[in-house]
Formats: sequence, C-alpha cells, structure tokens
Amino acid sequence: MVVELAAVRMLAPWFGTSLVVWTNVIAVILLALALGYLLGGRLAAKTHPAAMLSWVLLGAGCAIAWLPFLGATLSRALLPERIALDEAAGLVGWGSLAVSLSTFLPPALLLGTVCPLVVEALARARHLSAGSAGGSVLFVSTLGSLGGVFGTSHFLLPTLGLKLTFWLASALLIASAALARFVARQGARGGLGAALILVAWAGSLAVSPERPSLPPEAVELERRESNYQALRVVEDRSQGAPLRYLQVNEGFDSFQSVWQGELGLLPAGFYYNDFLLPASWSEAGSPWNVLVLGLGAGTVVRVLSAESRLEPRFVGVELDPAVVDLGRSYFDLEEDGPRLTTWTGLDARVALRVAEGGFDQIVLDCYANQVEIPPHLCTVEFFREAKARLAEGGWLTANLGGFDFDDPVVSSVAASCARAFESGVLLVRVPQSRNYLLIARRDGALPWSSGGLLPATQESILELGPRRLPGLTERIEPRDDAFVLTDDRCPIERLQTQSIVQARARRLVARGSG
Amino acid sequence: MASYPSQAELTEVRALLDASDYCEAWRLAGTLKGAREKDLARSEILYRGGDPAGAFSAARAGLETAPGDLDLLFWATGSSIWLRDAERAQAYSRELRARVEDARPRLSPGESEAWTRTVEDFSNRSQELAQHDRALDLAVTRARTVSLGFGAGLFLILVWVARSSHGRSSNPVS
Repeated sequence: MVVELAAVRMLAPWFGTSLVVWTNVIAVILLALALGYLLGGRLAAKTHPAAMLSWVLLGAGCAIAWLPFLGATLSRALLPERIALDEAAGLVGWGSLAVSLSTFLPPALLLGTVCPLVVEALARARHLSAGSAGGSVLFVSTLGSLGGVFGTSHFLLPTLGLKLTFWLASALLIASAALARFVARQGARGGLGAALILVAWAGSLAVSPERPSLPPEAVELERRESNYQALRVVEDRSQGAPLRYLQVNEGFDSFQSVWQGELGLLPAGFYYNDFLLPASWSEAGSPWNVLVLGLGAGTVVRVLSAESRLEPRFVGVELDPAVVDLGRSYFDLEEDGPRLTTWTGLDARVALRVAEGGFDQIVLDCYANQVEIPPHLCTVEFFREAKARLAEGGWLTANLGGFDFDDPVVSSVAASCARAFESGVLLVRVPQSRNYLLIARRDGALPWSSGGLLPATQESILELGPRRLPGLTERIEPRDDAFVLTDDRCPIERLQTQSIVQARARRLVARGSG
Repeated sequence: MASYPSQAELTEVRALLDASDYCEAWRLAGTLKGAREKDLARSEILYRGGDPAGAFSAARAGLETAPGDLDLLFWATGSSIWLRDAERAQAYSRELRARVEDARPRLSPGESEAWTRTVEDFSNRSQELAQHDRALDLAVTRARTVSLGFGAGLFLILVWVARSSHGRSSNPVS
C-alpha cells in the first residue's frame, strides 16, 4: 500500500492524480500482484522457499528505492515540454500507464510472490495446513496494508516526502530480506549477488529524481508535499512585474492561485477578476459578506478586497492547510482577523452546511486533481444548499473550466445550478481564457437583457468591456429535460475527460458572431 | 497579440476598442458598408475582446465573401495561432504569403515591408505549432508503444508461468 499510494504521488507532478491516473496505477499494481501470486506459487514449490523469499524481498527493496528516479526520468522522456492542459488528455492516460508498467510493475510483481512464499515457508516450518498458514499470512499482510494506508497518507509523505518514503519502504524490505536469509540459514551462499543488489540499493540514495521543468525566466520558490497533493510556488519573471503561481500536482499550464505585488485586478485573462462582476450591479452592503469555497492561497480575497466600496468580509474555506500556509508565505494572504476567517481542513460542502448567516456572494472555485470539479460540489443538491446560504439578492459565482458554452462540463453544471435555483443563470465567457463564470442569484434579477449583459449600474474597478459582446454571455434557463448532475448520479470525471478530448475539435466551432 | 499592418480602415472601431467600449464598436461594425468590412471589424473586435474562436469564425465568414482578402487572412491566421490550431494556422499562413506576393505590386513600400514581417512571423509561429503537435503525437505513440510492449511481455510471462509444472509442497498437510 505504501508503494501504491506513493506511486500516485510520484506520477502527480507529471500526469496529475485524475481518475485515469489512479485507475492505471491500481490496475498495474493489481495485475502485478496477480502475476506475482501465480509466480510465487510456482517458486514456493522449490526446496527453500525462505531462501527464495530473501531474494525476492531484496530485489523488490532495491527496485523500490530506485522508483522515484526511474519514474521521473521516464516521465520526462515521455512528456514534451510545456504542454497545455487540453493537449494532455491522451498523454495523461497512455503516459501514466507506460510509467506505471515500466516502474511499478516489477517491484509489485516481486512483492506479489511474497505471500505464497511466506505461506509455504510457514506451513513447512510450523507444520500448518495451507488454509491456516494462508489465513495467518493474509491477516498480517492486510493489517500491514492498513498501516501502510494511514501511515503513508498522514505521516510518511507529508513528513518525509516522496523519495524518503520510497527509501524507507525499501529499507524495510531489505531488512526483511536479511531476516528471511537468517531464517533460511543461507550463510554466505549467494553473498556476492546479495552484495551487488545492496550496492545498487545504496546507490539510489545518490541520485535525485527530476522535476518537471519550469518555463524560461521562472523560478521555483518552494515545493511541498501536503496530505492531499504535491504543491509548488513558482514565480514568473518574464513580464515586468513578477507573478507568482501556486501549482498543484502536474500543473501543465494551469494553476490554483496567482499573486501580483499590487492589490487589485490581475492582468487580463485571469478569471479571478470576474468574481467582481456582481459589484457592477450591486449596491454596497455593509459589509459585503463573501463565502469563498476553495480559498487556495487567497487570490480571490486580494482581488475582491480592491473593490473597497463593498467593504468585503470573507470566510475562506480551503481543504488543504498547506495551501493556506503557502498563501501566507508567498501570496500575501492576510492572517485571520475581522476581515478574514479561514477554515482549513474542511470540505467545502461541509463548510456550506455549518456556515452561518446569509452571504452576499458565494465564490465557488474548488478543483480536485487540477482540472476536476469535485463531484459533490456541482450537483443540484449542492447548489440548493448554496442558495440557502445566500442573502436575498445574493450572488453565487462559480469558476468553470471549459471550452465553449456547450462544453459537457460547463453546460451540465450550469443546468444543474439553474435547476437548483429554479431560475435562469448566466454563463460569462472570461476573455482571453478557457474559463467561464457561472452566475446565479437568489431572489434577484440577473443583469441580462436582449442577449447580453446589462450595462453596469455601479462603479467598479472591473470594466465589463468585451463581456457585453454578443456571444460572450449566455442565459441558461431551468429545463426539465436538461441533463443535470445529482448526488446520486454525477459523472463529472467522464464529462471532464470528454471536455478535454473534444477541446481541440471544438476550438473552431463557429459561434454566433453577428 | 498579432500586430496588424493595415491602417486603412476601421479607425472609429479601433478608437472605441481602445476606449474599451466593445458594445459601441460592435454596433458600429454592424453599420459598416459591405459584408467584408463588417466581418473584418467583428473579427478584430472579438480578437481584441479575447475570443479567438469568435474572431476566427468572423474572419472565415468574411473570406467566403472576399476570398484572399489580406486583412481577413491576417485575422484568420492570427486567431488560428492563438487557438493553437497548427493545421489551420499553416494553411492560412501559406495562403496569406501567396496573396501578399500577388498584391505586392499594389502595396506601398511601407505596407509591403509590414506584410513581409507579418507573414514571416505567422509562418514561424505556425511552424512552431506544427512541431509542437508532432512532438505531442510522437509522445503519445511512444507511451502507447511502451505500454503495449509491457503488456506483451506480461502475456509471455503469464504463458511461461502457466506452462511450467505446478509445484507440490514438500510438506503436504491436507
């Protein structure tokens, strides 16, 4: 289990941790174990199963120690430089499968042989029946897996990091190999081979796995493994004023948070600016209460704070405490105080249930695995709960990644929101980006007329600009026959895959231009 | 953003775009005489408004009524590059180069030089896109080959293991 869980993390900086990556890793490990069981059964019939066990453990330990280096090297070889998210669909699937097969399969296969070998050795040594020996071994190994699951996720990866986690697992296997060798009374037999394997194992400490390369003129400020994901803070110095990005897992050309030195609007193309859209038609509240679901490193807080007319007060919800920590270190995210309350380690949906008061605006910017909206945060039931947390006339604003208005993700999430709000919702295409802003309102009119956004009625630092052009905004009405996402059935991962796969073909679909 | 060499038309539309008044620019575009002028203006408005797909659609619509028009080809190529569509970018870039050569006798030296620079820029960027696409295709093929190779190897191992004799415990207990 240590290897399996760490394997996904190892692939994360290159291929992400989307469903397809998890599927590939689990499939390869299961395949390897199945073959290992079969092979182990054959090997167990040899004269000295304990001796064979020591060799198998030694080989697996050595192979696991090299996993971070081999995995990163192979991933680097398979992935071209600087690919965009929508270009990555085919590569994520095949690439993660290729790396999983060529790196995780050999050690997992060797580990698969362990169980039958131990069963045989135990049965012979203690004169147990096959069932009794097998039951004992499975009991211990399953308990070990249980420890591996919790230990890896909650302690090993966040504390030791990937390389040392693998190395620790390999060291335990080597120690087990030595024990098996002692039990088998091998003495000096095969000593040279064992020594060579040990040298190869020790050599793994001398190499460092590669990391995905950075764009030119970008520097990595910090890298961290959290309980949830691989994080890195990157500063882009190619423009005049530096921009910092928080990247999660593979990154590609996407990011979770962005920072610039000055408070206020980010350069054109950043969807965070569009969370200010309600300000164009809203009179200032006193204060303007905002619930941010998916706080990240606090970009939304910094952008909305620049609209001083609103006097915003924030409750920011972020699942990963390490993200908030990095936000405070690198993204000028303010400490908790009268203007900001952060809830970390809390799922957005749970936070929505426990949040008190009617909010003037709910910002939804939650993504898992970089590109996937978590399934429980885009359903009709979720949007109903969000609506219930809005003040009268309050706004729900959600960031959706997509490529067109009829993109599978964009259209289904918008339809679900419209169903929940029992009224029309707006989709605004964010200029110069592949994002859409979903806008819904509780008991209030949407700023929409004759196929476009209404002019602003309030002064705002955000100009509506091209957002009012025909074809850049659509109103989605609730429809009984629309496909909506529910807690019972939410195939958002499949829709996300469809969205990316179709993206290139969809780029040049003619839209209304006149 | 692509640099636009022609300064002949659309002055008012551009002034409105510079003032970020996209709606008025759009309205004005609808009043221009001729389908070519309307599509040209709309393409520029959508391009500058951050909607390359819309800009491409408008340019393509204009090219149906004014085939080979340099300005429309400019926006069609620029939008294709923004959309990272190597195939279309190369096709429009090639057509633009050919049309510029045809039109060169009618162009002033300044215009001629500006178009030459633009064509070269578009051509280089289109080629970069094509190279990038080829690298992507190659990477997918490589990953697929490695995966299938391992799959075949595993199948052989399975056959080998299955064909080897079943072992019998030296200590049968049941």
